[in-house]
Amino acid sequence: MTRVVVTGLGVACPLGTDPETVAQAQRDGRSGAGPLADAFDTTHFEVQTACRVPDWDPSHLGRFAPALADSGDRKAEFGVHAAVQALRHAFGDDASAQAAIAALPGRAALHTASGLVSSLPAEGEADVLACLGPDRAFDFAASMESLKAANHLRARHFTDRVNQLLAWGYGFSGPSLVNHGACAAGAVAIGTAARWIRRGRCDLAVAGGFESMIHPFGVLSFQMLGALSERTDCDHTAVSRPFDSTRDGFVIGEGAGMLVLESEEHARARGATVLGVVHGLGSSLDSYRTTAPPPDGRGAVVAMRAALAEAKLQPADIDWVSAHGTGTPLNDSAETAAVRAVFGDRGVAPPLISSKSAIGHAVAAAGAVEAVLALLALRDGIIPPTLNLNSPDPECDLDHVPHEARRAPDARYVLSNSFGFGGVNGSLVLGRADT
Amino acid sequence: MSARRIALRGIGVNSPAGAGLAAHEQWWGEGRPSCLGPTGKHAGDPYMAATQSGEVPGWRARNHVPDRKSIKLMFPRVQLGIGAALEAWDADGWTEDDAPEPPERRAMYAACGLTVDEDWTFRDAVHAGAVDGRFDMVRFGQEGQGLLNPLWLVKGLSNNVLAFVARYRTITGPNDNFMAGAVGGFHALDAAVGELEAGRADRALAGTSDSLVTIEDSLAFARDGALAAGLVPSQGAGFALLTPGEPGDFGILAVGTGFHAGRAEAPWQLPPGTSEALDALAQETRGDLVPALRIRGPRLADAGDIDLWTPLGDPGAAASGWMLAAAWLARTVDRVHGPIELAVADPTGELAVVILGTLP
Repeated sequence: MTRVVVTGLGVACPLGTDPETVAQAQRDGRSGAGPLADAFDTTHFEVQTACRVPDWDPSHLGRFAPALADSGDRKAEFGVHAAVQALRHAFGDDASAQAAIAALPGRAALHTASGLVSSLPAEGEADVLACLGPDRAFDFAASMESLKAANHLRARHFTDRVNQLLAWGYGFSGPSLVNHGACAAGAVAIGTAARWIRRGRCDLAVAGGFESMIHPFGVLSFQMLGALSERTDCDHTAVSRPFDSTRDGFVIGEGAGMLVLESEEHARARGATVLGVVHGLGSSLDSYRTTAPPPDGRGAVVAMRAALAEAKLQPADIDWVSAHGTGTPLNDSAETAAVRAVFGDRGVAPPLISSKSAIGHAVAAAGAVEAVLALLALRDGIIPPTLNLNSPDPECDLDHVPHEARRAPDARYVLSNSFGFGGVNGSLVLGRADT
Repeated sequence: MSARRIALRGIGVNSPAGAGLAAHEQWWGEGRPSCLGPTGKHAGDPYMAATQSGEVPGWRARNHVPDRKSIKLMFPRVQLGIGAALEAWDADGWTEDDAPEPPERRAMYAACGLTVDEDWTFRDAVHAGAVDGRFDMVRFGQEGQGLLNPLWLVKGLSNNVLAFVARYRTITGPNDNFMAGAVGGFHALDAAVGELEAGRADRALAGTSDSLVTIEDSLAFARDGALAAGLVPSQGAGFALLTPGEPGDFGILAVGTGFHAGRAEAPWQLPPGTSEALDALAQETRGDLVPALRIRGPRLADAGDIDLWTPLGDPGAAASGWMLAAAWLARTVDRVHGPIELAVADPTGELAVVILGTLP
């Protein structure tokens, strides 16, 4: 079977906007959390903490910046940034990447993932306030003028815009797709792109996810469901508490993670450095409830077992598990039950860590960002820590690597979980470069 | 050519021609008359810019959605998708009690369009949060946020068709949800074929649903000039049931996907050169096969042998689902037995070709 190797990494996440900065922060066990009020006025919001991409400056997007200017589309900016970074990582520079992709007509693919596109307040102004005349009567002519003026805002709703920009910029002409599988989307996009390569549909793919819901309506959508932590009795960096008995919801995050995937044959032929391997994907459906997993995590069990089967590995081969680990009471206990079902109890099961303790939950991009973090950790020979795990929940009794990264130079395989609303589950098996 | 044979066992479809396959067989037999009309439930809404649309006639969600209490959580595109998906799934007489495959070997791949109408859902909250015609975050926090429907995120989930159908038919296996405009349904088909070929599933649904009959779409099309250019927003869904097949079954002969990186003059138009790129992909996909019938997607200069879009309007992402249904009807009603070539392009640049026919 064709091995699918990783030859480029790109990332924008609360720990930084390049792989080496992010890797260092992960090794150091740093948190990317801060005040949500840095994003907008939160005086009357219950939620006060977010994990934002730090010091974000879209002007460095270069030739892509004009197309993204003024749309307020942070997620697309993150997506383009991470994809460009991954391509430069894989090929050295833009010109080399462009030449390599041009040499693959119809066989260089894009498989990204994104999520819900909730409106910005500016869209509310343009679509609603500017269209109302006296007595709130609808003024059609005014609406047309307003909507024309706000045309650039609507562009952010077309999530395939990142694929379009990359296709225009680099000449991709193979399969192109945007996954909308909720919080499992990023992981499933990477696994599916790997399958495209294994099936011979393409030789190279840029795969990953991008997301930002850190704006008023985006945050409110989760707050009103009770999914976000409303904790204000501690420092922002201590709010995200996966697997802790005091956990009360997740911290909203944002960012993008992108991988350049190639068939091993293609990568070797061009002398590329192999950074890791995508061994398997498992996807499943809970067939249960829209916003809650079944307590026994049975959907997650199916996904993890399917990923192991595609990777042709046994549970004992997995060195650590990167949990979905949101910090919501229901997710963490169900995921623990699922991991026990697949791997065994504490002492038998491999360590289970949650990167969301440091970077929050990047929603549709989570699985992609966490795949980048996992590959960097494998390279660095560490198991990343679960932060803020001060009073472990007895119901989640597994080895969670609290507070500090653990040395693991012999670790070869990671299983990375991503679960989403609608009961969708995705598990990826990733390997070190020599696996 | 597929490594394993994959058969198309059933179709579910909703369109302005009717709800369900039987209504479409009748419409097809009558020569496919136009089903477009004045907009229905939005007709009196001053926000609705379109004066003509293609709506599914007489649609009653409670007749198609098993769980009536959840209907309030479903946009029309979700209801239409669930109806078509369940019709396809049950087409070969499937019942849970007699199902030969375990739930984890049931797969589903769905495509969807943009979730819209949010700003209009927010109307009252945004208005309450305004000061002197401008959105004010503090005022919104005080006066506006309490007017929002707490379940709006749940209602807007793009994978809702997948989630509800999985629950109704205990589908727990491989799955995915895509957004690829008019092309999405063929990506779903491609993914389902891949799972069946790889032996990871024994039974799979693939299809798409969408509705452009919304206020926000209507205003956007008016702004972009699409309505003036003749675009009639429509709605519907089409899903196919796939299983491993035998020689002689009607099934999937080939699937090809690609991208044409052109720039269109307007968001709803296809980029220049799309037809040529699609023709090249079709040639590559069909190889030596000679199509007996060619069905083309909306907005293409080459209308193919059957025009679905003049009588039914433009259903956005549902287009590829309708094309699967049209191929099924050509086979069952018109007795077309040679290969049927389906080719579709989206303004975003995405391309796909599916060749259906008798499995060798």
